[in-house]
Amino acid sequence: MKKILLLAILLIVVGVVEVVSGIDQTASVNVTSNLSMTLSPSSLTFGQITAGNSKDVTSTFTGSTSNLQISQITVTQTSGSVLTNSNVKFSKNGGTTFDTSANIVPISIPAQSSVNVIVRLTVPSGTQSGSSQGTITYTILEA
Amino acid sequence: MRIYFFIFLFLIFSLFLVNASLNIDKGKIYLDMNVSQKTCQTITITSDDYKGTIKIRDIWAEDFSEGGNLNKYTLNSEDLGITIFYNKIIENFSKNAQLELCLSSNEPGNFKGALIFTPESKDNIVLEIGSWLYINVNGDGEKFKEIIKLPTGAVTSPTILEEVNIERNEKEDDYFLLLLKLIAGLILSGLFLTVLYLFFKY
Repeated sequence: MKKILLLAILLIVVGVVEVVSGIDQTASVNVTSNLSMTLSPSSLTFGQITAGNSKDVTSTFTGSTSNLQISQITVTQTSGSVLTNSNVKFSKNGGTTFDTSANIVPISIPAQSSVNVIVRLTVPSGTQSGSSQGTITYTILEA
Repeated sequence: MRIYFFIFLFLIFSLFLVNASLNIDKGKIYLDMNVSQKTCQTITITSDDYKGTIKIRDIWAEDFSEGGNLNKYTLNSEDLGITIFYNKIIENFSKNAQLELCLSSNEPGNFKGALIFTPESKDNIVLEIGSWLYINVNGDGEKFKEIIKLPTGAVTSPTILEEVNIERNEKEDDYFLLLLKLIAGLILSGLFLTVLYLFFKY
């Protein structure tokens, strides 16, 4: 009788342990923040540029309560031939060094601060006259 | 009077200078889960001034410790064995919307990616906004903690507890199944004991 009781207790313990061990030990935690960003102006116009010259236009990014960063800049040409990654370069925080969109990122934008990004378009010598249009996409994430 | 008129004009003009932008309530999402376990999160997107379509995509890094340059996030979720579900497009967005993000992984490890929200733009500048995804699937817990550098104060934040509660609600079905398993296990144990008792008695 004692053996049976012992065996019963053992089986119950084994069963309970087996089931309990199947309980998910996972957890999900989010650092919640309101991630937002404003940019001005909403469009860039370089105007007329003579072949062989450059022109700079400034965009101002203003962040929210979180530290943010520009994690990617993509230049997409929709018409013409000038708006390419090699002709459009960027400088951050009023710096004098210009770099390609791939190399300039990430650009830090401290909480509740503004950061100027200068966009420089260079029209190579020998470029035929015409117009070019395109889009610049900025991707913003938390720093 | 004329000065006020110019100030008014300037203010009106300034409103048009600012790009319509999206806000999201989670800058970073941390998921700690088991292999093949599906885990979900809800992300709220808001905007005061944007109406229209929002396209959503996910990108992943080869290395969990990758930094903030998205040009190095060249992988798809499939490349890492991650199955991810969410609406790729939100149509007729106005004021706010919620996106449910669910994912599971067949491969253990630590993974880092980003979920990017792209609004349409009539202008020639597009402002995308994104949320980092930090995933630990039965991976190196210490490395995970080291990389994400989760602020200790953040754990006690009410908003975080709220998120955990959402997660728990979504697992209610799983806990019900476990309860059934427990009851079934006890009944089977009892039956086995009865059979054993009868066997020794007779």
